Amino acid sequence: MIGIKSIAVAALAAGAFGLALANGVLDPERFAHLSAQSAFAIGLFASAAGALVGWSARPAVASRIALALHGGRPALVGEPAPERVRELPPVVQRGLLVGVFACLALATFSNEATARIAAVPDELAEPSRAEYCHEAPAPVVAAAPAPAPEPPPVDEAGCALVKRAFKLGYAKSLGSCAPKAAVAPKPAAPAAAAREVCTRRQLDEPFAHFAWRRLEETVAGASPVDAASARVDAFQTRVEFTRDLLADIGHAITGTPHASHHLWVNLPDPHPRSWHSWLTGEEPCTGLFEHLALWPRWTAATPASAVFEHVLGQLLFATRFGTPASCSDYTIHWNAPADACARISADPAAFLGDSDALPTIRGVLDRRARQVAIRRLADELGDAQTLPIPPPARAVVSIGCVVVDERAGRPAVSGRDITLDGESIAVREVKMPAIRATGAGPVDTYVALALLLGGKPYAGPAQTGSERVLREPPGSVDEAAFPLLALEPLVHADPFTGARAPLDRAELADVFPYEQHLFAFVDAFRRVYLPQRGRL
Amino acid sequence: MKWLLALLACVATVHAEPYAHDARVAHLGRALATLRALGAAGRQQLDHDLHAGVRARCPSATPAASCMAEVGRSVCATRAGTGDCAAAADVVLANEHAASDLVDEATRMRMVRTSSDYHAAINAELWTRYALLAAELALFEGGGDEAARIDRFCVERDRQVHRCDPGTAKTCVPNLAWQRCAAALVWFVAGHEGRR
Repeated sequence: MIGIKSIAVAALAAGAFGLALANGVLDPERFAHLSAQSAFAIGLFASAAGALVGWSARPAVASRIALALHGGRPALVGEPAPERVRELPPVVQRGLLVGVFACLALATFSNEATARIAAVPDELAEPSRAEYCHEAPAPVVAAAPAPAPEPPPVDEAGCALVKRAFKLGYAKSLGSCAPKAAVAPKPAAPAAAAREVCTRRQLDEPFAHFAWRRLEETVAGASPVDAASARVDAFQTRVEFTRDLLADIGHAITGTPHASHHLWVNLPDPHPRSWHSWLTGEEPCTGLFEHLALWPRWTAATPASAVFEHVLGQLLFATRFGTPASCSDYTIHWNAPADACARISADPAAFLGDSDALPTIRGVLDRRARQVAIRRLADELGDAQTLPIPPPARAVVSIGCVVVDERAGRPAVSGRDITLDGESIAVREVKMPAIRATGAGPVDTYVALALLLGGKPYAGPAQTGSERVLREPPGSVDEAAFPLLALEPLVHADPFTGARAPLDRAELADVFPYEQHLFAFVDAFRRVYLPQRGRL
Repeated sequence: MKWLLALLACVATVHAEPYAHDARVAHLGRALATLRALGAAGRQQLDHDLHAGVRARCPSATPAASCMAEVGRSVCATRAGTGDCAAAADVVLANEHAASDLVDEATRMRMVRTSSDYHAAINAELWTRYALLAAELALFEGGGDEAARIDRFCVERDRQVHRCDPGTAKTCVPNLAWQRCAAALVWFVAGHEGRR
């Protein structure tokens, strides 16, 4: 039986020699170019590692496991009798181990690798760039650019004949056909790099000096008394603004509205509260205004308040016309007295309190005031602002009244300002004789409400000059023969700017191009109205 | 006698209200039938005659509808016995009047620069838009005959918002007034069947 140590050493040696031969490590050419440093490193490594492993393997002692043949098949035998175990002579085992490590070292310690290992102590001793100031590298002087080749002459049209005459001697000079060289652009001078001042430790600076310098820098300009005083001042400032900070958090938690706009209308509620609304609650405004018809087919029996609510929803909340306002910021007070705005002007707090509008309006004004205070706190502390500038009070709170009174003439808007909690708030009122559901009635309602909310009359859609010139009045075509063509002028006849006669023809209700005109009207209204409003 | 009176009253109503539902559907039906009866060559000839007449008699970038109607009347006066010529001409002229609104200015400018026959080029461009509209019509759930379906589709379509981004202008048809939608579909349906 053969000892396992001898088998292992032989296998290691065979593997190492085989790999070394296969990878050209034992190539004689390689030995010829081996540097003295590498040869020494290989020898040192092979002898040291071989001696270490040879010492621990104890090749003179027989293995405690041996490989034997039992019935022609190899088998491991544990704790065999030492005299029966056959091992390689210890010198051979040691020699093979040294050979294995020599192969490993030959593959590893190339001339370049040995040189780099040898240079490690020098590099370790070099001062770190992160800790020390080093000499700035000398700027690389760019090689002088090669002289540009002579640019080719620029040929000019009509000069061929002159050049030919000059070449044959018929002309003394080329005149304006003389070759002109294109001027080559000059190379831009390299910008001088700004040199950074190094505050790290100098290469020749003693550590104690460097430490003292850093300490001086740290305490320079900051006396401990001043620092403590500044902290106390900042704390006192924060304490002064504690109420504002807590109130702002309170507004965020309790969900104070971001804006509060109120409309008092002297019309009945189109959605009177039913018995089941007491159980299920009222429908949220988002659901109410989510799917508004573009132009409902109303009849004379349609309640005026339904028309009013639809028009308001289209103007402010319908998403089909682009960015809408937030309906939760708006409250319609139905069944309002006709003199609601007059009473608000006379005694704002009393009327708004009776209408349950005062708490929300005061909440919004308070929320705004707290935001202003928090911005002032940041200014006093010298901190960066975290809140945007809040909109003016009159942008987040507004009051409007719609009065439908048959004694009124044309729709007219009046306005005044009231003062509530020290803030100026706009109050606007529109009086209109009626809200009609049929014919051009809805158009009148759109125009009146847009005037109330936006404050500016509609001037018509944006048009180019040529578009304005080419419009033709509706009804200029004989309808009986060409009914399709006869409707074409309606495409550009805007009922919101006065062309309302076609709307009074009931038969046109289905085919009137409402969408185009309504879109232009609502778009123009929102461009005027939304910039006047804001949210906290 | 009563039936006759009722019929007369009905006819009078239809004549007095050309935009009542029944009158609209009847007009579209007549236009469809006439355009189909003309065949591809006849439709092209009618389109050519009307376009040439408009160019000659209505010298404006956007001709007035009243002037175009005069052209339609004079062209149809020379075409006796070709069904309801006025209804077919109404469709062609409404399409021509709407063309500059349906095809954006940039596309029209490109056609002027690159096409030798602007009228043919814009007709081809319009045809692709009509095809998109016809695809919407095919998906529209509505009963009745073709004219009634077209009428109902066009009435309902303009009650929704159809906005087209500049990037999707070629694959999107914006809001169309009823008469433009109906004229485009009648022309496409009649012409498409001839091409199959």
